[in-house]
Amino acid sequence: MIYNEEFETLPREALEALQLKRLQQVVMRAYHTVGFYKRSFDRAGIKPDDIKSLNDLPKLPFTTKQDLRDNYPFGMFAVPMSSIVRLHASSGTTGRPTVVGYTQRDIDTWSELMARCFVAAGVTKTDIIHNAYAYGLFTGGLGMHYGAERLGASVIPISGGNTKRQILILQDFGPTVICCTPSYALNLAEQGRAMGVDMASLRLRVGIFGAEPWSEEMRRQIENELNISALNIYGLSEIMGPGVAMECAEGREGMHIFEDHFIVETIDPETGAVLSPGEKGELVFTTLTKEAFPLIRYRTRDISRLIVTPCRCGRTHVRMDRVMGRSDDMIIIRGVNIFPSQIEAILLDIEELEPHYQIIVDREENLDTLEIQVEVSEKTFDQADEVKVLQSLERRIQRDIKDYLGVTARVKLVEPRTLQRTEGKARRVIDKRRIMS
Amino acid sequence: MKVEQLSVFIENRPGGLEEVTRILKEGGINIRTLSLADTSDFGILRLIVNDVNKASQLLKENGFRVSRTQVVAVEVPDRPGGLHSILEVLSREKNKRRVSLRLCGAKRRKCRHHLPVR
Repeated sequence: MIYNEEFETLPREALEALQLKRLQQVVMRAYHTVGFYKRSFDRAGIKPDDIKSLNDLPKLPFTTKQDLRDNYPFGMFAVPMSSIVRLHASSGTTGRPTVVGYTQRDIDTWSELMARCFVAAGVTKTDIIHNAYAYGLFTGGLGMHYGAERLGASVIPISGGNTKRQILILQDFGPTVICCTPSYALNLAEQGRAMGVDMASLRLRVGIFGAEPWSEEMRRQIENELNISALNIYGLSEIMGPGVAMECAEGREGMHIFEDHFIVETIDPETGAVLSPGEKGELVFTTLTKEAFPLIRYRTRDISRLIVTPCRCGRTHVRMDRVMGRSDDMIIIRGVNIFPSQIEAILLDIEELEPHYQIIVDREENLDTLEIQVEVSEKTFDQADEVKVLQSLERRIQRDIKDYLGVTARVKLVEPRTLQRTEGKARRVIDKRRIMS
Repeated sequence: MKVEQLSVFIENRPGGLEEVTRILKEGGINIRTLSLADTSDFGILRLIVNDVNKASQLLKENGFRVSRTQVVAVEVPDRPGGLHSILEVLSREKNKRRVSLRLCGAKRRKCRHHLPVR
C-alpha cells in the first residue's frame, strides 16, 4: 500500500526534475538566511546560481555535526523563532546537544512522511498503534505519534519504560502495531514470557523498529517471538526524525528514502568523494523542503549503501541498506546516541579523576549494557583509600552519566595498567554486541 | 609505636592478591600483617611491612595505586582480656579514630594492634 501514490511513484525523470527545483530553492534560501551557509559557500567559492543540475550538488560544501554544535542553539535556523512551533534536541550532554526546529509546515511534512512509513508497513486507519518510543526532546515518540494521527490510526502514547504496564496494555488494549527499538521489542517479549503471557498470541501483527542498528537475525527472532512482521525505519533528528526512510512490507529489503523531500549521496568518509550508487559509504543528506532547519549535504556518519534497482512495491524512491556501522565513534545504547567524548567530559568534571577510561558495550537479555571502567588515579587513592569513599565515587560517576546522558551505566574502578596505555589512538570503546551478522 | 601502613588498590580478579605478594616476595619484603576490605569489584589491601619505602616503590613500579597512612601499633598482652584492656582505654577517651584489628607476632606471646592516626 502507498500513502501518497503520486509522489512515491513519480517516474525518475519527474522526480529528479522536482528535486532540482527544490534543491535550487533550498540552497538559495539557506545562503540568504543562515549565516553559516553564506560563509561556508563563500569559502568554497560557490554561489546558489551555480547549481544548474543535480550533478552540481557535490560542489556544495558538507555540513557536519560540529557545524551544528558551533551554531548552538539556534544559529542554523532559517526562520525567526516566531515561525518555529517545535524544538527537539539530541540526547543531553555536558557538551552541546544538537537542537532542531520545525515550522508548522515542517511538522506537516514530517507527519505525512511518517504516515507514508506506516502505510508502507501495511498499517491502516483501523489499526491501534502502541508507540513505545520515548516522548520528549527525542524525535522518536512525537514523530511517530503525529504520523499515526495523520493516518487516522489510534495511538497509545505509552512512551518508553515501565515494561510490566506495557505488557498489560498490550494484552488489554489489543494494539495491532508496535513501534520501539528492536532491542526493546525483544525485551518486551522476554519479560512477557516471564510474566506467563503468551506473547505470540497478542493481537500485534506489525512492528516498526529503528533508532539503533539491528540485524536480519534479530528480525527473525522478533518475528518469531511476537508473531509479527518486523520492519526497519530510518531517521535522525538533524534531518527530521524518524521517517526519512522506511522499508516496505512488499520488498522487505532496504528502506525507501523519501526522495521528494531528501537527496541522498554516499561518500568515502576519508576523502569525501562521492561514490557510485551501490558502493558502501557514508550517507549524506540534503533536505529539500524543510523550512526551519534546512541542511545542505549533512554528513550522517552512518555507513550504508544505496539500492537503485526497482522495488516490487512500485515506489520509485531509492532504497538504503541497513546501517552497517559508523564512520565516527558514536555508540547507540538502547536508542540513545553517545559519544565517548561526552563520557570523558563527565569524568573530567569530577576533580579527582584522570581521563583514563574504557567503555564496554554489551547486550544482555536483549538489552544493551554500558560499563565504564575508570582507572583509580593517584590523587583519588591518596585522598580516599577507603572502600566506602571509592564506592561513593563510583555512584557519583553513575549518577552524572544518568543525569547528563540519560542512560544507566555500570561504573567500575580498575587498576591503572588494566586499560591499554595509549600509543597513538586509544581504544576507548569495546563493543561486544554482535549486531551486524 | 607509630608505623606506616600501605594501602593497595586491587581489582577483584583471580590472581590479584597473588601478584602483590609475588612482587613483595621478589623484592625481599617481609609482610608483618595485612587486612583486606573488599567489594564485589575491588578491594583495598592494607599492609605493614619491614621496608615501607621499598615496598611502596616496587608496587608503584608495577602499576599499582598505593597510598601511605600513619598508624599506631600497640602491643597486646597475650592473655584473656588483653585486647579489651586496650580498647577500654580508647573508648573511655572517646577516641574516634578508626580501629582495625590485625594480630601478629604470637611467637613472642605479644600481639600488635594497629590504629590509624589520621
